[in-house]
Amino acid sequence: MNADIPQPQVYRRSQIPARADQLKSIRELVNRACAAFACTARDTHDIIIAVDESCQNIVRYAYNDNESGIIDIDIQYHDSSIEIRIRDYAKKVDPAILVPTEKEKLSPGGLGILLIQKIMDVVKYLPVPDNTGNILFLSKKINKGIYELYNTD
Amino acid sequence: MNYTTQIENDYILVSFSGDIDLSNSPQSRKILLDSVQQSTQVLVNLQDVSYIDSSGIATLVEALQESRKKQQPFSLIATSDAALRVLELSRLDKVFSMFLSLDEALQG
Repeated sequence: MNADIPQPQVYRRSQIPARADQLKSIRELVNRACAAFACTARDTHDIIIAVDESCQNIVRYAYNDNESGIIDIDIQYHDSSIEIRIRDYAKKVDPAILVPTEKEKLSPGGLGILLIQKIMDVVKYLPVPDNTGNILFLSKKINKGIYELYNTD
Repeated sequence: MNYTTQIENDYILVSFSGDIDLSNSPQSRKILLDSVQQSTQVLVNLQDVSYIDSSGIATLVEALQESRKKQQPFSLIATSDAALRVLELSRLDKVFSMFLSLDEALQG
């Protein structure tokens, strides 16, 4: 392996308190990861929205604003995509909540899932090894990043 | 998030700056709904909004609905790229009246 080629690292934060006042630091983590993976400004902003909305749903609905909950986040680059795993330790959620409901009328609610689904290519729950909580998996193919630039022929 | 309100005879201009997210959207909701009750026209300047999430967008939608109930204008001014992107993704960019400047908004 060529030592000059930077290897994608995992951006990880564990034990994040599931509180609204932590969302800004989560957005900053995503921003750092996207910069390292050479995402475009548009992709970076969109992915920040998707992760923020996912964590917001955990704070509001999984933990019901109970501030003792925690969130773990892993962000990595794999096969031209940015992959994000968001773990919570709340009660099991029904995967059906990931289906956005098309609204006939103007409504203040329900935008979060719509935004996540519109931005990311893959949105799904992964099996949880110890059956505790939920792991939300988000993936998005990103424009040619720094790791491909090293492999141009 | 920071905000200022400019109260005139025939409108209130609310200018937000920074990030509007779940941590402060209850505050932005109160500011907007109070403004709708106090005035016959509310204009919201989003030029310096660096980030807005669905909870912030929801407050704008609610204020728009209250304005419609009172049959009065509710407009967005100089919407930042960050805010415009979320409105586009939410398909709400066609729902709000949006103007490039205060002068343009006041001319209708």
